[in-house]
Amino acid sequence: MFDMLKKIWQVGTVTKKQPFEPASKKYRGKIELIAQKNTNWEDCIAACPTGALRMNVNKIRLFHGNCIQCGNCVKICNTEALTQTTDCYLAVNAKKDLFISVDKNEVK
Amino acid sequence: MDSKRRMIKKILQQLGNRLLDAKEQANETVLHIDKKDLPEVCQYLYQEQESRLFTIVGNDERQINGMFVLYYVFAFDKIQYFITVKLCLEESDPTFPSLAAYMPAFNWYEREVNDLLGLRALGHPNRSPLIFHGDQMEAVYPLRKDYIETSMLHCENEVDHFVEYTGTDVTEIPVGPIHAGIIEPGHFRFGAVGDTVLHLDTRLFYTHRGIEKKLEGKTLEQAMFLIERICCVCNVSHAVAFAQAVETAANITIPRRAAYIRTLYLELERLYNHVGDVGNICAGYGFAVGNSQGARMRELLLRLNEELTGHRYLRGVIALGGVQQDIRKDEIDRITNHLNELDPDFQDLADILLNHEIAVDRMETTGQLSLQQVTELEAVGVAARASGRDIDCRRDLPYAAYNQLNFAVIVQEEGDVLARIKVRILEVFNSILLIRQILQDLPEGDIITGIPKIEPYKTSLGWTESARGENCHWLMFGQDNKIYRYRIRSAAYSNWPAVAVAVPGNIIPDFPLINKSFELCYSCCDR
Repeated sequence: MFDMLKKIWQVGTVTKKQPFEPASKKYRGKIELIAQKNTNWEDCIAACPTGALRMNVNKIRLFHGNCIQCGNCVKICNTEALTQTTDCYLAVNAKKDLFISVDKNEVK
Repeated sequence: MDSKRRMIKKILQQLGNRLLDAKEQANETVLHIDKKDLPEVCQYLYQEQESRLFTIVGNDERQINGMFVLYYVFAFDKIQYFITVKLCLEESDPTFPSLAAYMPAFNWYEREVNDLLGLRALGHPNRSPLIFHGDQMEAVYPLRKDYIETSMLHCENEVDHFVEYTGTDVTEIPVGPIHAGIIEPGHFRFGAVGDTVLHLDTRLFYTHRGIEKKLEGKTLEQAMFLIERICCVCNVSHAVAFAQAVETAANITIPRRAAYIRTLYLELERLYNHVGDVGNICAGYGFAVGNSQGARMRELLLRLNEELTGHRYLRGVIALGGVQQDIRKDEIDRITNHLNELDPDFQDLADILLNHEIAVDRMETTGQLSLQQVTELEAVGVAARASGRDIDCRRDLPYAAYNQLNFAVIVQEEGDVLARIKVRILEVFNSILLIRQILQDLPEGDIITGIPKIEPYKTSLGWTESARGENCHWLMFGQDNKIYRYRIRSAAYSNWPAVAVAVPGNIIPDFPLINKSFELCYSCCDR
């Protein structure tokens, strides 16, 4: 009994407020898609295991609802068009907000 | 090496006149026999030679040789070798002799091939379906290659296949599939006399996702994603088992550093599972202090995992031919520091638990399994070791870097909940020691090698000891490094039948405790 109370006393409160800062450095979070010229889109799309990244005529579409944030597309991408952030907050109000669509050859 | 040759030679001689063909590959010999000889051959290998059943695989090879094929894989721990009995069944007569009446471990496997492939075990004592709940109206067999996925499979005539009680003193208590806590679905039907359970029927496979079917035709890289998602809390062990099956078939050895890092991740997985499970068992008798302390330590370990690999449950760290992520010097120090804190912290929890009279009273002699029961049911992992069955494939069939590390296999004799919790507690300390050894001896070098092209229709085996027990993956390659057939036999699949045996004789309030002491996974089992 006494050792139990001692342990509870020693440990104290351990719960924390929800952290809103980005997750730890290695965390594989939300994929950012920014159109860039001369990107190897075909290879990136082929690397996606869930079909979240697609090409529609001249548009590149990324559906966050299907993305499992494996980062395969980022590894294969030859430009900075696809990057992986450590952002873990993906919730949106409407499903359509999960679709990201950019023009294939847009210059930024 | 010599004893291995001698033993294989002896087996081949003994079965000589029954063999149609014998083929040797990597670490197994495939014996092709006629189905009428199956009972004698299995009896000889299983009972006289004291091998254990590793897995049974049903395969539709009609595109290759026009037959259905069954593979019975037996493991010989002493010589670290496998003997596979191969059985070809004609499409016109897809039946084979059942052995479940003599060897209870065969029960589920035989019912599963009946459900999914339509291969019937003649003389099986329990003809009720295992995966499908109720009788199917038409014969649809999802694992056959000519099955076309169109819609949901309907079981219109859902019949209960539970034991019927005729006496008036027996109360039937249905529990599940939807439970009060956040746990997975499973239906339990107790037949109770007063407070005491007379018989327990379980109905699982509510979360059957058809992963084995989905894996067919996938490339090895795509398959890795699905295999990591068989089960959340054993995903490293599943991924390593798959990677090892591929590496054995491709005949490559992974770099030493990769093997060590794999072992590190496997042990980190075992560590957070065991720490969490010890806490969870306390919830079985409402011991809140133990429960919350276990949860706290598990959470700290999960955060450590996230820091090391970017994923709390260590997903995405294993690659075919090695590992995805290397480990840096400062991360090694981080792990060491964490373990130095965890060690006394967990020791406190163990002391509180094992010195608490009420806690020990609830755990002692509850849910007992005898050595004979676990051996006959082929239980694995913690459940088997707590009943005195001395198996651990980290030692018996070493993989990754386990043959270069020193560790003891913990065995208890009693087979009750207390013994299972003791095994877990001691394995936590074992894991800590193992991780310290790994970090000390971590060799330098590459962490990944390439996978060459593998010849079509080659079969291969991979296995790991997860926190729940031994997972076994059987794999047949198709054209272009794609998967032709994949079979997953998880620890939960082997151990669930043992739960139903452990419960009768105990009072109903002890069921959650017994169930938690096995800590079996539903999704691993259902796949």
